[in-house]
Amino acid sequence: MSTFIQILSGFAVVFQPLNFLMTLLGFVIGLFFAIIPGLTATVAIVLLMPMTYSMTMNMGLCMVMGIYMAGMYSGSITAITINIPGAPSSSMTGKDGYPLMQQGLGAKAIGQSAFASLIGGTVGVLLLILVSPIAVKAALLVKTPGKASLVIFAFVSICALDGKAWKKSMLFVIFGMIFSTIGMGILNPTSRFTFGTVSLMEGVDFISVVIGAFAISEVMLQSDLSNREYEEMSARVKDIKIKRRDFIPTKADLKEVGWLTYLKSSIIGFFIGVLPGGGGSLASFVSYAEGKRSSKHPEKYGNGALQGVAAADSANNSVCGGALVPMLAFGIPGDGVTAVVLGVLMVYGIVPGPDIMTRQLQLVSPMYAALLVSALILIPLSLMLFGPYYIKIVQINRIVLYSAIALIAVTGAYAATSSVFQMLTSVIVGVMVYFMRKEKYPPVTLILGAMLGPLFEQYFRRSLSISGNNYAIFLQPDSLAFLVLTLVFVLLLTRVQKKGVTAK
Amino acid sequence: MNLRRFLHRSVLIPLVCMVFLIGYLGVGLSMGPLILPSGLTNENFIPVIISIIGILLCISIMKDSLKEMDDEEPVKEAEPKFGLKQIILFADFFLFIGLYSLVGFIPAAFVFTLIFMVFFDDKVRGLLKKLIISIIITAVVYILYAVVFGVRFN
Repeated sequence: MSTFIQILSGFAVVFQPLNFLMTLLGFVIGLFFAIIPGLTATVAIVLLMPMTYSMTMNMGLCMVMGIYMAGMYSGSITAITINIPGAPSSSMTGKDGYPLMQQGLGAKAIGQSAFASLIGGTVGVLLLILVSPIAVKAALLVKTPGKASLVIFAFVSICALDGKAWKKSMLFVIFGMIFSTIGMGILNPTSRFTFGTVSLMEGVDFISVVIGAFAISEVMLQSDLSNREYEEMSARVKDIKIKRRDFIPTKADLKEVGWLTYLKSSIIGFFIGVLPGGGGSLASFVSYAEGKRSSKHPEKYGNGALQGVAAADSANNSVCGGALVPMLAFGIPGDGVTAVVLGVLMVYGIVPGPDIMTRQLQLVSPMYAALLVSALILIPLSLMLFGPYYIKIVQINRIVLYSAIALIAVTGAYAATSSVFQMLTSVIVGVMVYFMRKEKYPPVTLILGAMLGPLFEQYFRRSLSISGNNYAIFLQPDSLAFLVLTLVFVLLLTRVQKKGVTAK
Repeated sequence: MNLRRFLHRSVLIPLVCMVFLIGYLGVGLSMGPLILPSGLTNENFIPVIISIIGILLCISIMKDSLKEMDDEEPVKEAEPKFGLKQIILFADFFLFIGLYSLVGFIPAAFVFTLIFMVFFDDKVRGLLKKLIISIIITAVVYILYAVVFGVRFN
């Protein structure tokens, strides 16, 4: 059976009533989980895994793909409306989405986010179907030193993006990395910074850091506002008349963002997804950085640029397609969600390997189709059905809203880890980030450090181990390419920022 | 030299971070050599490097902040306060964790939410309404996590 026919048969499977219902159900569950801070698509899939045992393979995989795509998209909703990303991959969306919300353009930001997610998700799946064999070869070219350099590129670019505050951003990256060093060693089974304490042996969970950095610190920052200030903000939102059509991006919006931004961000997202360990957060960071670098108005980024929202969301949804490539071809998950998806595949006895993308395509083609269907129903389902209610969040009684968020957040740390210690960690991180955010330390970089720190350490030390501590290993073509890219990026950004200052 | 300048938040934060990083570096260095006799890097390799970079960054941030203070006219900003309200709310989080371990989720969540609602508000008012809402929030969150998502609480 040709590849094309096998893919088409996947669509036929997805459109069978029960399978389609499961895709929809998964999408709604993913949407719900990603909106609630502390709960992510990963947690949703983990908790729903036992349910998939009683389903057919196609039903289970369709539901999981629905959760995955919705989880990537809907984390942006709370990032835009209340500046608390529902999922780590939506951190960058909040950078511009929340300022847009504050300007009374929340509907536009949510609409743009959904549209970009639709484009990204669709492009990601099409690329997965069309160029996955080539992508597999390209990913194979990036060896361990190259991956270490890619992480350096992510660190440097995101800090450089903060302009004058780059030192604060870098310090937060360092703290994120420090969190990731607590517990068991990366390469050797020895404990680090545990002081003989059993609780510290389990390390600092990434979810705890995210909840502390975004949810708890945000709730506390909101406590600084008096009711009067909040009522003024609510009044501004109250005045906005929201119709479903307000979510649909206008021609002017699409022109402002530019088709190239959607396409470029989707391609960046896909290829970062292909790189093992890349994931949605890195994709949105890099895509946002590239969007700002190539933008005619980089000064708008961080202050409510639609292009920023589009760049971040196109990329993180495109990751869904890309991340499946290493997972299916090598059994290496592209991110946390695909790691759990891999577990679901194992339940059905699917063993990942190069064959699965060629000779056994019929086993996984319903996954491709479900992912594409999920991307294509994002706008009609989430936007047209629930869209008008998202923006209402800020009109809810702030005391009730933030008390509920505080309880959900701190409970979420426990729900994701089953550990009281991780709950405590999230509160401690929340206290720290609360004070640092008052001095304009960007919490996104803390998350970047915590997430990519272990990967960097692993790749960096492995590279040194392979080369016998010869640092020249980082001058290999793949690694050198990322290092040069980092340098070019910093130089270009510095030039752009200088131009901006001169222009002012 | 005016030492009071070091009490300004923009200087105090990197100073506290630097003290923490020095401690972290100390622990890192006490873990043994950075390169093992086998030629492989030790588990303290990256921590030592990042803590040194972090300390340098802290010094630089402090220097920038002090310079900014010298360059700029003292402006009385209406910056958000950190007062009793914030102390109580932070304490409430720790209280929740303590109570959760001692008496379980439902009473801990109820007490946490009630305290949070009372002190998040500008004034102490509408206690009965807040009490009822706390019960509802606790019930909803419990049902959401324990019943719908199957989270096992103590």
